[in-house]
Amino acid sequence: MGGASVSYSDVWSYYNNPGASAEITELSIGAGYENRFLLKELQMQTLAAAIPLKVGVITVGGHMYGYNKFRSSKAGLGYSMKLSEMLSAGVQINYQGIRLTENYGSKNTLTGEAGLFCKVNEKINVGFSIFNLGRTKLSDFEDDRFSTVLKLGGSYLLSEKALIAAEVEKDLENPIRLKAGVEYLLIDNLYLRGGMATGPTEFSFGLGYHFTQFQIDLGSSYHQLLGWAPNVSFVFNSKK
Amino acid sequence: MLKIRVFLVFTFLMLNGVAISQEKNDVIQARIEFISEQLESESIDLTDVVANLNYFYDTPLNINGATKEEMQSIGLLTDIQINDALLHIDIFGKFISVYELQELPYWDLETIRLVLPFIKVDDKLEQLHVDFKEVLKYGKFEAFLRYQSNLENKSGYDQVSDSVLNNSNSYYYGNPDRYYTRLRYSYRTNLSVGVTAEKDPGEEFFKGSQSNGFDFYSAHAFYKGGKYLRAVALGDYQVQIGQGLNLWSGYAFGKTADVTNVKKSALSLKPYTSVDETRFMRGGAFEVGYGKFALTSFASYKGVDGAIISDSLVDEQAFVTSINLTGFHRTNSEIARKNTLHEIIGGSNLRFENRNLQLGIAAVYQGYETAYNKDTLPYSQFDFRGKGTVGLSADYSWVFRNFNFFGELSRSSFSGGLAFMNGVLFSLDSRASMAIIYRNYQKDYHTFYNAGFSEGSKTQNEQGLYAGLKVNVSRAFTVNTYADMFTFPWLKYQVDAPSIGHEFMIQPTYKPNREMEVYVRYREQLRQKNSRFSDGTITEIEDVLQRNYRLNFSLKVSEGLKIKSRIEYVTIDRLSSGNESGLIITQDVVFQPKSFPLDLALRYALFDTDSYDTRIYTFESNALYVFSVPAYYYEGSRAYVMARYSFLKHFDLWVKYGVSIFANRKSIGSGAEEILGNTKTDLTVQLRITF
Repeated sequence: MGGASVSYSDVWSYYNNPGASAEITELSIGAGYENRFLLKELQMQTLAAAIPLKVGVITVGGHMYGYNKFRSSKAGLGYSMKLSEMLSAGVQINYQGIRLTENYGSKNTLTGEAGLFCKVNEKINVGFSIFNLGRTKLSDFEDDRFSTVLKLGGSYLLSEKALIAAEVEKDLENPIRLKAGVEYLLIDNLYLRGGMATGPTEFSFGLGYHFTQFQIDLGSSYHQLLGWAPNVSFVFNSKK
Repeated sequence: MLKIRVFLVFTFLMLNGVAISQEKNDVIQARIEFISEQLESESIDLTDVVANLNYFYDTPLNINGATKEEMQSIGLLTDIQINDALLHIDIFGKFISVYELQELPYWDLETIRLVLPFIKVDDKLEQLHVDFKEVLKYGKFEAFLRYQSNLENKSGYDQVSDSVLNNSNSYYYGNPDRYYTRLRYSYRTNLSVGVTAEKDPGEEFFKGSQSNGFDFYSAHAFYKGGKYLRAVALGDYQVQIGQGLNLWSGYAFGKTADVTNVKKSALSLKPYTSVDETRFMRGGAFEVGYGKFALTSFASYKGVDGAIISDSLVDEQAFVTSINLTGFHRTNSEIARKNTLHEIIGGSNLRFENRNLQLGIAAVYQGYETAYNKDTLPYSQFDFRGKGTVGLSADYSWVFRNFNFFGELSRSSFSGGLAFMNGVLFSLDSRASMAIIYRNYQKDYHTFYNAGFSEGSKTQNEQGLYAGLKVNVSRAFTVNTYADMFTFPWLKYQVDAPSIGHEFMIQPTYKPNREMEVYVRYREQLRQKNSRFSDGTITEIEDVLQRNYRLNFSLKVSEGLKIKSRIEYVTIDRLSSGNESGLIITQDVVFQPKSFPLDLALRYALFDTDSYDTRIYTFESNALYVFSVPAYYYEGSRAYVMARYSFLKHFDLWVKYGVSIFANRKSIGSGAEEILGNTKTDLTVQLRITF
């Protein structure tokens, strides 16, 4: 869906928008795998879980990206809560690390993120999130910091079969990214997805199959010069 | 539920009433404007669109009994919508009233409102066969006489001695006026006979190189409607096949804000009535059919302007080094090139068609009498050379529920190059449609007249993926958007390396009622071109990023008075020329008094652009069948008045007078087109006689 996910509320909100997790009502666990540009050095594995409590939802998860000479990892714990019928908010603390070769060393540090999620009406959702609020430093050399990313987006439920989402993402150091995606319920539990993003220009597409408790999604994005980046994910929802 | 139905019927009645009482020209003009506003070319030709809309406004198409091809020719319905209607008739029988159209799942209110002036729902079905007496009694005769000129003197018209005139290519032989005339007799869509003649500015008239009078003549005789002999064309005609990869004569639009227009509907055989001097067939063609099968066969032999060189060593050998498509015959070299070459085209297209599936195969031979052998430059290495080529293609279009899959594959024999495109148009909901098209045109694919969906101007050397979405978020608010990613695997003119690019457009429109409309349009295009820094060795290519921002507002102030305002801003970022920008502000006022048969359109515009690159194209009103989307560039102002006066029931007179005044310039244009001074005035006068 072009990555226009800040206004989507499911277990992957751990990754996309901590505020949106408040909408989750049952225990969800997800695992995902992505291979960027079909290079074995650029594989990413992610794991996330959302545990609803009496008040609010706890999210926990981690991801690992790269290979032995460049590895980026993140483990985080977040909490999100419904402030009112329409509005929810959430925060998340992450323990983040980058490990390069012996010559360059490694660095582990904490970053924080926060998000808001608003159900404008039964068809429209709006989400906002900031990653790396504290502008945590990566190293003193040239004041290098982990990127701070702001995302603002919305989704519109056209009908029970079609959903359209759009998002604007701004990373402090890179130009603005516009993303949009469409999800269509083809038959029964089979979803078809497609999306486009600018800066860099990529398009993406995917399929999803939703069983009662189990969900599997596959897709890929394509960049004009770098090529394909396929991904797959599984989500398990426990029944309450 | 009933209350909602009553409300819908009521709204419908209101829309219905207003739509029918609206001036025909207003409706058609609005449609032409909508299409033109997306295009960026000075020479667009929407003659067919106007002719079809005019015809259907006068003779609304009866949905009961209309064929798929007839519904496609209105140009406002997607195949999914057409299939929807035909399926409804198959299952539930004929429509009883227009209101029933609302029940069709893929016909939203906006579509119904748009198409209503051109359709009707009638119990009586039209008769298939044409009676000769009826043709004479109910046929329509139409004549157009047009005069166009720029009032200032261009340097090509300077008085020079005969010896200079005969030896130079910078002077025009004829006068600076354009004369155009067209006569046509037609009976519905079944019969059409006509003659067209045109003289371009600079060409002579009844003297010198033009002893026959006009430079360009065109005539046609066209019949359609038999059960087995479905159509016959003699003289000048047009053929369209599939999605345009193999053969598509006439004009075709590319990416527009209306995503549902990206799929082409080929109207296999049509008479030719435009003045483009190259994109048509001249000869004869026919279409025969049996049940669901149809076979169109055609042959064309016409003169083309080419520069021919004879090889001095080998007497018999002569070949063409360049072909000119402009149709101008004004200077010595242009006149010398006129019709020096003959182009031969012949082929057939076999089609199978039922309600939701269309299949076709076609073979088209196209060639020249004298071999074409243009210079070999790196970027044109794979272009067509030789005597001829055969285009072999297969195409399909399949409507399955709310999906319309379509595609075409074509092969060009001189090189074996292939062109392939496949797409899907689907209705997510009655309020949203999406189109996705993938294309892959090899660098050595070439046919003479094609119009495949593409970013480049030729169906060659391009791969890309396009996705477009149209959503009616609410009754008043619509969003149109598309994104296109493309690659050019080989070099292009002024691009000395394979390149990539993308285009992105979004246009939200707010139209709360029939009186007001406001829209914002943002378009971003990235292409790569040769850097202007060149040290004589290999030139690098650089990114050229263009962004257009437009705000457009139109309001019907009262019955008969409408205003329209627009601001458009463009920026171009390019390393070798820095960042350039351009701005245009236009204000239009349109008077259409109901009580007096005079329409007046006035415009005042201010423009300021850094260079020709940052030019902005803006639609201008003009006489019927004259399409103006001129480019505004440099600094200055422009104003025009366009008046249309209808009198004596059969006559319409249009007069357009426009002036462009440039600031800070001593001359406008260059070469033979140069005007000294800073003013350029244009005048168009057209008379139409209908019986």
